[in-house]
Amino acid sequence: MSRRRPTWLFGGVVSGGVVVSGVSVVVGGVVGVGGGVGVVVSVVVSGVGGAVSAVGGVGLWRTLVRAQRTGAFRPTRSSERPGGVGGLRVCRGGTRRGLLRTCTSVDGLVDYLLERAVDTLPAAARARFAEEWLDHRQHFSGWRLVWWALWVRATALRTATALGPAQLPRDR
Amino acid sequence: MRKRRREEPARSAESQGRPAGQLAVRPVRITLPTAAVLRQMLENPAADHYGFALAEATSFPSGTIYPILARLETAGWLASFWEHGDPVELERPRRRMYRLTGAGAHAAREALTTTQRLLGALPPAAQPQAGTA
Repeated sequence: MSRRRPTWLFGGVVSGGVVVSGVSVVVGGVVGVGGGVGVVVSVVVSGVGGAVSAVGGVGLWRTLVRAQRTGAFRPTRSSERPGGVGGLRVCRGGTRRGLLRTCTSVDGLVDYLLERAVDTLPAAARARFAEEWLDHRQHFSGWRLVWWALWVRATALRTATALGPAQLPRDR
Repeated sequence: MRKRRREEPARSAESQGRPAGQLAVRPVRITLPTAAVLRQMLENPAADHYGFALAEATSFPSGTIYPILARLETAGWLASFWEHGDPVELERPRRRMYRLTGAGAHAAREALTTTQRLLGALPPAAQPQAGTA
């Protein structure tokens, strides 16, 4: 675990850079109303904030890429969370993909949401709904596809309840 | 004991005046989306309905439709099956089709009729009094 700490340190630098940049813009704007000195101060502070933010951004990108390569996004307790319940792992065909790849493509995100939805269903119905959703997904693209997948994921538990034995012994 | 339980639905079907041979269906909670799905399917009760088309026709998100179709199927109102045909020839994934069962169509008509009777006609809107505005 201690080997991964520097990666999160980069994250701290990034967030610090973003905060400093935002604050500097506000401070610069307020002081700038006062006169020329204020303008100079605002420009200098904004420049420093922007530089810190840029460095932080590069650091974040390198951190994410490095973490992706080293597998830092794998859940720490995978034995307790089969199927990647921690939200940081997508299992498909025995391969592992990280958060970076999942979040940077629509298909990756939709794959993840649908797999999580399928995992919610009873085992007997998984293959059937996986195929049905694979078909329905062809009708959408872009943000509509993401929205549809989110909706399917959100209602998967209701679908599972409807499929399960909970409703069976009602007509007596 | 188990045998007796299996015979119960047939007896209750006859007592409810359904045609002989129709299996009993379990009651389903009729929500607005459920009613919309049933209404859409009753337009052509003998036809096979595509799940995605049902979602489009009822204007409900397909995520809302899946639990309803699953509930109706579990209760015996619907039967579902894969469409015939090879996906390679069709050049698309095969579709899951839904069809009302005989008892399901009967129950759906009853449920929608009851819902319509309960809702009834809207009372006339109150006329604004002249000069009060």
